[in-house]
Amino acid sequence: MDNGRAEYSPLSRVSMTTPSDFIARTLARLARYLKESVAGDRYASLAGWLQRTDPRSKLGAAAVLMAALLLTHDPRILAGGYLLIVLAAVSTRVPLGFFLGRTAPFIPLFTFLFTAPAATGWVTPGPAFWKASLFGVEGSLTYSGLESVARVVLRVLDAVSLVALLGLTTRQHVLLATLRSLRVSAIFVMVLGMTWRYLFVLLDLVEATHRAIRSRVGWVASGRIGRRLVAGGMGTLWMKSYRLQAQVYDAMVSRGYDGDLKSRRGPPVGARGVALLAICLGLLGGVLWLKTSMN
Amino acid sequence: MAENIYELKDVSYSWVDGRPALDGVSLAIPSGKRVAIIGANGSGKSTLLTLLDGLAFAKAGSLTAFGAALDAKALGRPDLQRAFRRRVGYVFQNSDAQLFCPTIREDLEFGPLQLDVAEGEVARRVEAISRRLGLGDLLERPPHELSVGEKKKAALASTFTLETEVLLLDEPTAGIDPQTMRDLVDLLQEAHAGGRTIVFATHDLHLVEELADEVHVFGRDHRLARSGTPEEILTDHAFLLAQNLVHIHVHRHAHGVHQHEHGHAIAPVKKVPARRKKGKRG
Repeated sequence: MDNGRAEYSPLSRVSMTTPSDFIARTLARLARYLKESVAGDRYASLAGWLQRTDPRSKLGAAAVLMAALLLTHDPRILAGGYLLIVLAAVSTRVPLGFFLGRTAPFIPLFTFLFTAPAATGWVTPGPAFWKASLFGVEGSLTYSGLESVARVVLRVLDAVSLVALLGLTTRQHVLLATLRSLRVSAIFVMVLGMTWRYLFVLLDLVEATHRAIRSRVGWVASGRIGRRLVAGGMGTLWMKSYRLQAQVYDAMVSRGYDGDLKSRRGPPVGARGVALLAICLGLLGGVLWLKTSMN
Repeated sequence: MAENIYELKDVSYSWVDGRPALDGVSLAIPSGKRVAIIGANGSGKSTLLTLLDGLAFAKAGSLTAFGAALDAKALGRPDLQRAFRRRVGYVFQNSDAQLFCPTIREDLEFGPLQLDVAEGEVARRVEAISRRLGLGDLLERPPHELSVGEKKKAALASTFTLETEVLLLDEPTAGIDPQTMRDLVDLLQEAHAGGRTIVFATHDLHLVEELADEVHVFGRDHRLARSGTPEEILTDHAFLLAQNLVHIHVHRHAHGVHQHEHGHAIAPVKKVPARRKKGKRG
């Protein structure tokens, strides 16, 4: 809070709820997610080199690097790519622990769980890396299978990290404006922006409703009463959000919206943005050259 | 005599379920005047503003704006709709509904851009109103980070960038602190001095006293109960009491309990000069 400003009021209050309360727990998780998103916006406001780079060239560079990742088969290069992304994050003032927490542990783990069967000789035949026999059934992990799994996991890790870095170094609204300047449908971008905007308004409503219920029935509301309260709360929220969307539409029409959304043109891309794009295009060129020379 | 911007003759409006919102309302809003619409909750003040902004249409009676009928047929024509939006701006009661863009700057730019104002001119308007209202530091921030008063100022600014000749305001002072209210009243006084017509719905009788040239009072039966000058309306306490706009207040002092009307100054109404100099705020 600063100067009495109501900063993210739903977030700060929800964290005080009791962990045994299902609704409170859900609200707390929602709040934590939003807090992290807001924290992301904080890093985007720092004076790092990526934050100062034109968002359109960052988006373009991310797309080019994504293409390079898709064309790369060697897991060592993919692992090197991840290292480079982490270094880029740290050099642009995103804390290492925060960045690793956002990218490293869960997404690769889940990807590995889904792709693990591909490492076996049954799915990917080839020279065995490790063999085992259980109740007379023989199985193996193959070199080619393990390489395939590593490739997929590292590609996912790299892709997620690239997008996370883009999101962490670019403010939400700037990213939306960038999409608009890249000729993505204005109404699509507007809906995305509104979704983000009204998430906070609705979370505030949910939290206020929950607090009002608790002030009357106390902490414990289980079984039939609890379900009825939750269902009633959902109905109220639905009606309020319905009313709000009608008001928002009226506010748009009142200011001249006629179904054809008009927006401002962005300024030209600066030298830093052009340089970043050139480097990424160079990397893509290098990957293509390696691919053709190895064939 | 001032030309009428709006003329309503026996206008009625009802909700989808048949409940009346306005019943047989006849009134005129002259150009360049400051008109207050007051009345108890649910009397139809906001509905009237919605009709005046062409967001809903009278179900009976006639409503004209700028000498032409204001109905679905007229506003269904894109050229007329656009011409109307260039002349009338509406500040909603719920600032969260009005500030729908990712940042305050985009909200301020939204209206003029939709009405094909040149980008340079849009930037000039945004700069001017944000400097006037002290919104410079808030322009790149998302609306959910703002306090209630800041949101109200931003919502007002988002309508001011349209530079319309008519301003409709629904409960402009609801929920804001005294200093923000002072800024807002000063801004509206300036807008009026610049020739704009201002129509505002409110429960705040102090605002009526300070700002209005004419007052229309709506009753709980959704009909126009009375029209007059602020002096005529605000000094008729029996009438205000009957309309739920003041109440009898009972409280205890050291010498005992007493009661009096509560809700507005009993003292004679003093009009505030149209333009107030900066730094001389009351």
